[in-house]
Amino acid sequence: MDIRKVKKLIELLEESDIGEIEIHEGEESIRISRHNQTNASLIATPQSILGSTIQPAAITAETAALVIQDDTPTGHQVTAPMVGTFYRAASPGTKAFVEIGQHVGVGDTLCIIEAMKMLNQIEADKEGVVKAVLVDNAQPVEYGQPLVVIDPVVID
Amino acid sequence: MDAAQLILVKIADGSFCSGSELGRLLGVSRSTVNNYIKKLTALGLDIQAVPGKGYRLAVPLELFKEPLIYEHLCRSSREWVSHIEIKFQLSSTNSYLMSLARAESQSSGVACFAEMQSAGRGRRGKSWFSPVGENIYLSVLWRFRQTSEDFACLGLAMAIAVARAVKRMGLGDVKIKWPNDIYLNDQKMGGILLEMTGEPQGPCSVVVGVGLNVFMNSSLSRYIDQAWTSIGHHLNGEISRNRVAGMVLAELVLALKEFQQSGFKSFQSEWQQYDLVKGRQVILKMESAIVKGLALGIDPSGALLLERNGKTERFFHGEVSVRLT
Repeated sequence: MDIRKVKKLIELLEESDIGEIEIHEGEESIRISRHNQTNASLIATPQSILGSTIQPAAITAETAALVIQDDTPTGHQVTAPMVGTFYRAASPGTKAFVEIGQHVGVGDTLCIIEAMKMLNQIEADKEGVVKAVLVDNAQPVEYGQPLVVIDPVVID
Repeated sequence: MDAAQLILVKIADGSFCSGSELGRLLGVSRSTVNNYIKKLTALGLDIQAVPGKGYRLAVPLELFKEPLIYEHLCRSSREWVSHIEIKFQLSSTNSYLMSLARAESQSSGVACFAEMQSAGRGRRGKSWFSPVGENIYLSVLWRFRQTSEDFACLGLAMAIAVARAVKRMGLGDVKIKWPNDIYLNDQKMGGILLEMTGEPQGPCSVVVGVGLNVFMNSSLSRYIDQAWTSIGHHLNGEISRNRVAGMVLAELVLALKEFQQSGFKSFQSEWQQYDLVKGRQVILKMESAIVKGLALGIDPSGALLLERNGKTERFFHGEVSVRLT
């Protein structure tokens, strides 16, 4: 299970009145429950879903937050060259320029940043596989903010 | 040029041309000519067929001609226009020049006019109504080796350039709705869309796209979803589309040159005279929120200034509309 999904689930839980969510996906399952603010717990079974460093056991909310903040995948980061609004597709309702797992070549459009009706097509400067898209569609971005992570193709 | 375009060129001036004559010209039968006529009619052209006389356009069209456009470029602008391309139909002039922008061989100052666009567009998937032969659909490619800090204001400067051209045609009341829509009497007359590739700090290539209504007689214009107008609705007497094309192109390249040299500084005070919404209550629609306020103009970074609850706030994106109270 993707750590981002876990993050989403936690957010869902926080926004709702639900006390506990349990999700099964193939062999993995996760249960997130909260009792009180002081007693929030995150339980993963049967295998660690957060990687080898975390055991399948109850951990505190603070620990979970720490793990999630450390979420940015490693790889080649494409950053925002200007302040503006981030768009994943050319227009609403059309296909995103790239999806996670997609292979991109140098010069392929990854996203658009718009500022005052100037559209800047952000292109891949490295060949590789899109590992993560770090910004949600139509969100404002700052100069230098990481947008997309590319796992570069290693040429032997 | 395909056969339908050849027919259009032949009948553009409004005179009759018989089916058999058109057939001879194209080396096809009269019924094939009729099919081409249907094709042109489907583009929104009003073609009259009169027995014994032939076909003609109900309203004559002035098609783009490169030498005529060039003639209307003021002398100081000519050195900045590397060449002018005229296309009958493109998906959009911006898309076409963006593909050229990626080819390093194309220099600054390439201009492209299209008689019609099959996929003319504004921002975020909005379409730009682009009927054949009536308006201006123009894009200019410009390369910046380096840029100023206020580079994001380029779109505002381009709107001022178009407004200057329209004013020179005799329409002194032309206005700009932030960031860069062209208005006359609170009706939209033109729009601008900029696309760029490269580093905003330079080097980068920018394509400036302008759609400007010149005649707009098309029967299809009833599908436009907002109040609009065209230059022809306000200027009595003959106006030449090639002249309008030349004047707009000239102002664009001169403004690009000006912006390249000194950024937005020299444009900012001029913005005031064209500001459509200054002093009016407006609604600003953003993706995430809608805000209301009193428009106060722009700041040096091109941001829209709104007074809300006694405080001045700056905005960098959103669609402005005038609030009806």
